[in-house]
Amino acid sequence: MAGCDLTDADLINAMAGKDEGALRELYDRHATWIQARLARRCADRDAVAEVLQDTFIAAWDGADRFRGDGAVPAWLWGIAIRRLISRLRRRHDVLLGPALLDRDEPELSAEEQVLLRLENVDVGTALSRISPELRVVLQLTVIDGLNTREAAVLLDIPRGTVKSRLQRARATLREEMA
Amino acid sequence: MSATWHLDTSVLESYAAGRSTPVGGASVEAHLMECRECGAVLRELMPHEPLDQAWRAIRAHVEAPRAGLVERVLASLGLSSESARLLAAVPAFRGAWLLGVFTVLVFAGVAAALADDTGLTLFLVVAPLIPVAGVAASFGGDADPAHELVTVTPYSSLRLLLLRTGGVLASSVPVTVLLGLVLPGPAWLGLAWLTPAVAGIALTLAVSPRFDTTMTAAVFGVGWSFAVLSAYHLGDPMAVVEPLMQLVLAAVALLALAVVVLRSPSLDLLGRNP
Repeated sequence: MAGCDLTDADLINAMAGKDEGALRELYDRHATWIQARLARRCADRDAVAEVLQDTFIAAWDGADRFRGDGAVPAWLWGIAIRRLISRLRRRHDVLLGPALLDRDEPELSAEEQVLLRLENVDVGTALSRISPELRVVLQLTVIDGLNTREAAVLLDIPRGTVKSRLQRARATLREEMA
Repeated sequence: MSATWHLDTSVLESYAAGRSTPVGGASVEAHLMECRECGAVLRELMPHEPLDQAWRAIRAHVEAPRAGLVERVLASLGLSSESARLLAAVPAFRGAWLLGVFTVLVFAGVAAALADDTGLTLFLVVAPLIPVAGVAASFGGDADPAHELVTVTPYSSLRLLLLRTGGVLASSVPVTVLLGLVLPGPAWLGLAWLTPAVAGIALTLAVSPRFDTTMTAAVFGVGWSFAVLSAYHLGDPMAVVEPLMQLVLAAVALLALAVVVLRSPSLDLLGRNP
């Protein structure tokens, strides 16, 4: 196993040199949260497992193309979410169950309320008040890191609509939190 | 890299179980991207089996032998990986064979450039026989490293046969055509030899379940050489590729191809004759 003080970028560099131990270490560090995060967006376990393994295979094959200036976790998630989308592209039923759309329970645990409090404004409450259409756009762009074109394809709506919904969502949030 | 604060285990528990609220979950996710410690806690909360399983698949991919150059080019042209591997194993694609083809063609070209009629004769003898020999080698068994693989592959024999024949042609025809075009003779000479080549290949394939392909190709080669040489002695080596001869050869090719297609069920025996 590669040393534990190596940074993620070091691991990617080692992987570009075909070091399998580095891949194992990267997998140990990141596979769990990627899997959990995928599972929150897709209920199909087989699809999640497949996307997870495709993600690390793509990272292995593309390690030499990784530019050192980005964060590795964001890079991995970028691969994973796009794999998930192309895997599910023809299945809008599964696809449109992103976390923000489905769950609407207002009860938060104490810890979560602390987590959510940002400059004394309750983002959670504000978010739960905006319409699901706006929320799903926020989820895909702000949280999942897709660009507006990818979100448009995923939601099957024009890109302009994504942009205008995003603007509306931002405006509503600002109002709610004012 | 590591954050200065950590998620409460109960928060992670509800996240792992898929019970956290939308926004709560999102902030857990943002934290998990940065914090290795919380990632380790999450790992203990999640079932290990799916992760281990995915790892095995990843390792299988990483340790699998890399496809050769020919194979990757073929795959990028849209062939399935299985077809690409079968095709790449065609002897005509191996370095030695390609080198041989190249050398023979260069000699023929040099000879043709030196002396008009003798060289032309040499080219006419050699050019059509190269693809025929390639096909014979690809199905002969002796020279085919994938012989056992092909024999036991549950794959339509006709499709396999056409696939591999196509591979042989792709490896030898372009060079030969180019050579024919730079030869001193008429421009159509560059293509005229294709008809006898196709006839030879079709004949070889048509009789192959009965007779050994190497033997058939050899017989065809001797016959063809004899025809070209006698035409040369009669004064005009080009006579073998005159229009009438082309028609006859094309008819032979069509007939033989018809036999190949009609008998495709028995093609499963290809390369398995004693």
